[in-house]
Amino acid sequence: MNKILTSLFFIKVLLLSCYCGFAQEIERTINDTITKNNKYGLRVGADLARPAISLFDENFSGFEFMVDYRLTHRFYIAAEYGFDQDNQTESNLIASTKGSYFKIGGDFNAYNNWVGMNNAIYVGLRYGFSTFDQNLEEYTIYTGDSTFPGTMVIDPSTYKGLTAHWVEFIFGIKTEILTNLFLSINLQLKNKFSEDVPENFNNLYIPGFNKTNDYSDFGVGFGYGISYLIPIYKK
Amino acid sequence: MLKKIVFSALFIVFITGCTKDDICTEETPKTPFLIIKFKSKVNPLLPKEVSNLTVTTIVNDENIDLYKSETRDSIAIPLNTQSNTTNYLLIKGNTSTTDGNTDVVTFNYQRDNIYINRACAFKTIYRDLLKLLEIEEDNWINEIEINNSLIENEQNTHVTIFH
Repeated sequence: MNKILTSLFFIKVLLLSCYCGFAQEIERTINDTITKNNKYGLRVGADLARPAISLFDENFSGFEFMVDYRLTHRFYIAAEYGFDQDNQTESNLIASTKGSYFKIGGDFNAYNNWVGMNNAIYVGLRYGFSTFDQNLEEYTIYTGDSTFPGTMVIDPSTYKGLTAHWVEFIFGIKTEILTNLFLSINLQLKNKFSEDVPENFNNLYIPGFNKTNDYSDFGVGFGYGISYLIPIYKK
Repeated sequence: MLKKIVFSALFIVFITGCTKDDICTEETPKTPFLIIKFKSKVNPLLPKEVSNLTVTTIVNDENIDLYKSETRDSIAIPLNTQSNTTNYLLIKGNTSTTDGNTDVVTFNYQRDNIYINRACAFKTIYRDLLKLLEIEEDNWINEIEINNSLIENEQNTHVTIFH
């Protein structure tokens, strides 16, 4: 333990000395060029993953718009709006979901940018809300018995105006590929805290929340987005 | 702190990525069987075994044996999930050499399909169970009593047959 602490101390000292040298260099030039290099503004964009999946997967179509606004050096307020249509072809039932969602929250950029750069490694938190319809098309009866094996029952029923609410944790990376044009990739971990459960059925998919799980309230997702920064002022 | 949050989040994403709700497991409660107990017509409290009992139902003109020449005091038999009627032939004393005494019992009921989960989909439960014993010259069954007209699980006896 003591050994580790000692070595940590030395690493720290080394790092600090480097840092000081670096900082001095910056200070020398601070007055002429880099005083106002942090762009503040509204960034608008769209998710590329959902339309791409829509092309390859005939059971899914979706689109998402995203927007964020830089509040402080590290904090952004952020929101997404999208709509999904998802068909669930399970081994024992066929159903579909259609609806839209809205997510609002904030992002925290943990990345220390070099001067003049606007990249981000960020974590975010969202409140998500969805309204959707569920359609149950057909299902089999689980009998577990060969005398009267389960047969497909075609019994279409629609559950309209369902809602769901969740919180979402986001981890992502944004990088400026051209001036003011950003590519981003993110992973989303969602926890549903409220939903309208259709009578004698369940929400198999919730737009924005994605696939639900019978045994937990967790959901996962990812995004691959392109966005454009409309600069408003520099700081 | 931040690293910890990110790593635990990634870990949960990884864990929830593989879900168990894609497989319908054996232990999931399924469509319940009808539980029948056999009791003595002399002393209605006493269980009484039926010797060499064969239980047969006819599905699409094909005889299916659920029990074949077994001596027992209770049986669990499925009900048809596509029709409100299931017929059973209860044959007492059926061995390889003797045909035995056949009694025909008809069960009538209403069906409700109940959602289980994503993988197993639905099960059927039955309510308003009615029984009908075909009366002939030498019925071995004396009386049929319905104890529970709602069949939603296999924990209770639904029907008692006195003989």
